[in-house]
Amino acid sequence: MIQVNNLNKVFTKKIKKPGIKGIFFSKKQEYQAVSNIHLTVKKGEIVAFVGPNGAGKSTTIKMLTGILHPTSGEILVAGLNPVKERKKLAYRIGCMFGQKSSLWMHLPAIDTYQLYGAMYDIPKKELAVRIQEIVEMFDLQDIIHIPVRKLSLGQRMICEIGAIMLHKPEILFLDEPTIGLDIVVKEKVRNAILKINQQNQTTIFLTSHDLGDIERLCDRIIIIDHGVIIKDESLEHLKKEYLTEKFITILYEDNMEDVTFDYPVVMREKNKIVIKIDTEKNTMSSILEKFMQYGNVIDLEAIPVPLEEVIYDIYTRGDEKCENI
Amino acid sequence: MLMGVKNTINFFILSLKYNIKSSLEYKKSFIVQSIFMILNNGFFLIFWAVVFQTNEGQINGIEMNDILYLWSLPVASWGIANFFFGGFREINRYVLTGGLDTYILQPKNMLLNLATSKCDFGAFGDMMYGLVVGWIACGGSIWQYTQLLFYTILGTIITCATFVMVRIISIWLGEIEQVAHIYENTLLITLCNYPFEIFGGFMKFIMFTVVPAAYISHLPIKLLGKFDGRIFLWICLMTVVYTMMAIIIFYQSLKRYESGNHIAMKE
Repeated sequence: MIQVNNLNKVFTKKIKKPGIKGIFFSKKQEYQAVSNIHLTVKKGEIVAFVGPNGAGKSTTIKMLTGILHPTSGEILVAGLNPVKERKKLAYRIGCMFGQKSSLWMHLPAIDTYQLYGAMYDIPKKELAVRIQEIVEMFDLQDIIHIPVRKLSLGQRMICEIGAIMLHKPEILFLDEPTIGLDIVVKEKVRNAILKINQQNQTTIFLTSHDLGDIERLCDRIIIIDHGVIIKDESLEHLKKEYLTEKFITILYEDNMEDVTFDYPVVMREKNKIVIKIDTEKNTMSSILEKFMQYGNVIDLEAIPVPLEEVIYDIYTRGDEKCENI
Repeated sequence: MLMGVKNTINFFILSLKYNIKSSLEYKKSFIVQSIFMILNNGFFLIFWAVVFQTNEGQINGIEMNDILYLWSLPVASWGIANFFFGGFREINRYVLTGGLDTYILQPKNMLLNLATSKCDFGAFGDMMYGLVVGWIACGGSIWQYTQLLFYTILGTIITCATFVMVRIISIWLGEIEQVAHIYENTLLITLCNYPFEIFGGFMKFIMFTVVPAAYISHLPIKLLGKFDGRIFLWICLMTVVYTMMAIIIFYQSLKRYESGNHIAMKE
């Protein structure tokens, strides 16, 4: 569904001198926002496209959707060139940018939906059916007739997602779809995205800083940094590769504050210690055996290193496997 | 092809409808602004009426009826352009805030879509004022008024074209709101509203080129006095030329569009 080869985007930015000198002295500098990107996304895949701020995520999405013209490289989205075939592509994709609204602020969402119906040439009867489906899917009955400016952020975001679903797009580009939402609404949005993907085999290309979105929704993760893709693999593989490390909390019967362990302890608090083990290097039983020598263990808990820390480690270290998170 | 045109027109009409509905959300503000705009324009006519009264109804061959035309055609064109197609004057803001993204992502003609994205409801007063003063200037002649309406439509198209050309420059120059304001409100309107005869050669050259006041106001008024086929064709041709220029400049400039992630900041 998405095919990208050798994609590059160079911006020119002005570097100004600080203070009053900046009014008169500035120099232009080229800045490579996206560098030689190659990627392929298959129909029905849910792909997370993540990276730190300024990594090139939004620039890439904007080139994939035809907003920005690439400096060089090839892009095919649903078999179409986004720059040359903008209108044709617009019928087949849906885009949502969490920071921008496509709804009319002073009108109720139902009016925007009617306008979108005309925009995507949806026959009136079919539009009525689709609006009804969306209202039911997102529980919009109580808010669809209220002017958008009077809705909460969460209600507005749900209406935004409804709007981009009206023309049943084959590919959804979602840029921070859950930004600013509370956990209940986030879950609602995530469920809706999964439902859309399962029902219509919709391909979803998603950026988010919320790793909950990624864990809950995505099959595959692409990590970009400084305009370069540094990881592109299945989420399952990433977890297997990086989440071999676990935090083990051991609760002893006695106070262990004065005991010296011959193994690095992450945290120590009276009778509780937390250690981190790599299950590829040490078996759980060998570790337990070692720590049981220090005292009587009354409880034990093993938690994998959170995905958030794995991603953070990849951002800060590049694509080397994290050694010490 | 025909279906595509029909769908585009349907969308355009619906977009206008919702745009006006959105603007009328604040009805009292709409009424007050319209009344003040009519009063504002009305004061100029009162001023001219006093001037003509003290000069025995004529100044260098210019009569009060000529002034009525000068305050009808361009004001009505300006009013229609801003009321129905006010989105054109938002282009520079969209460029700087990344607001063009929404229109690029939609499957309709981008310029038409942009045009109906905003309705300047203060311009409703201008539109009504221009049309009423035009009716008075035509002395009740329906044929004369029909011609005036036709030239008003051409004037609206040229006015919109200038809005597009001036505002899209922000892709190249950045913040140009003040420049655009001076061009549209000071140059275009002033050159349209004052008699052609008072301007010198250089200003007349400007009116036929950079600031197309001659095609919005002066040449149509000349035709309303006495029809001339060559001037008529010239106005029609220049309407097409300005429209084409606006379309070409807009889409060529768009290649440099850099989008943006606007978060409200101190300007």
